[in-house]
Amino acid sequence: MIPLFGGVARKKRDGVGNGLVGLIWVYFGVMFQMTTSQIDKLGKRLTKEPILDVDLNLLDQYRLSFSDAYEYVVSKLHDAKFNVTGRQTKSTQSIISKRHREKTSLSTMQDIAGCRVVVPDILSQNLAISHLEILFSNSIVKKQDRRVIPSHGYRAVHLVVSYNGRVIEIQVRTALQHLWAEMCEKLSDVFGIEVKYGGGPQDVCDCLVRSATLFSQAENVEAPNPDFQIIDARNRKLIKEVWLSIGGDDNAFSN
Amino acid sequence: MLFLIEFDRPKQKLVTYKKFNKSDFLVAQKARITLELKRLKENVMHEIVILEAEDQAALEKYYDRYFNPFKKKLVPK
Repeated sequence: MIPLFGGVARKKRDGVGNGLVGLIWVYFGVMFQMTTSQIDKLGKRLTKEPILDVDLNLLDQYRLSFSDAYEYVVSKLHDAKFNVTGRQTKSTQSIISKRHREKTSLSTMQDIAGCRVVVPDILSQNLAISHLEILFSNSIVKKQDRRVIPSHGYRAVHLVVSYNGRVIEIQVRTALQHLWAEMCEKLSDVFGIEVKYGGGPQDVCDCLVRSATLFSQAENVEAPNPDFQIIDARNRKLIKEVWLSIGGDDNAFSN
Repeated sequence: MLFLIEFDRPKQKLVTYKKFNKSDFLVAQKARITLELKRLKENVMHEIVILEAEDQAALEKYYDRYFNPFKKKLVPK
């Protein structure tokens, strides 16, 4: 049985007091009583059509059981003055897609809930990671440095933090890494999800691989620049140059 | 702040976009699952998610694909 009840006592953040978070946790704790085996069987059922209402509800209860761990991680990140964006629950579509693609069991998916920190450059990224490793020193169960071995061009550092039987993924990206990831996501919206994993039309693959390499080279030689807006404008220009160099349409970018 | 996003990926279209205060976490999650169940009945598989960001500007900056899709239809060579 996966532990269901997390710590109720935690300091206040953003006006959401202990009482509300405790109530959330007890509510979902009482609702959620599945074993690991049952969770994995649910994951398998979700890959078969049709998806039943009852299974979607069960999935939702499972996803929401990560809320306490998510709040714990995001709260600590805010207290440490990181700018954080988060996704409390992975979308159903993404879960099913991951099950089909990687055959990952539902109970072992490490990004059911996650958050992201975007920093200006490689130096800031290294500092942020060091800071996070101290902040969550006893809770980090995994560190994936995809800058060293990119995943189909995707570069970032992921830390997986454990809290009360649940894991939360923290993605730490530089501005360039984030821009590349956003471009990849937009291309996958148009050409299919396989684009993110090395599939799809060859032109698109080539664009992504070349731009990933270019960005990585640029990051490793350019001096750290604390002005995020300047880096942002330069990144957009660089992407457009790569896109045009492989015959992409000048109107493909909205700005 | 919390943001309920429903996104039609193939059409790159933002179908639903609602804001909630962080303190309305349960309301936001209820809205999300209600929408998911509704789409399930309609046999429509859209990306439906709750995102958290400092404010709308931060959300649009870090989740650009929902707000700034490719303008022109891209066709590979």
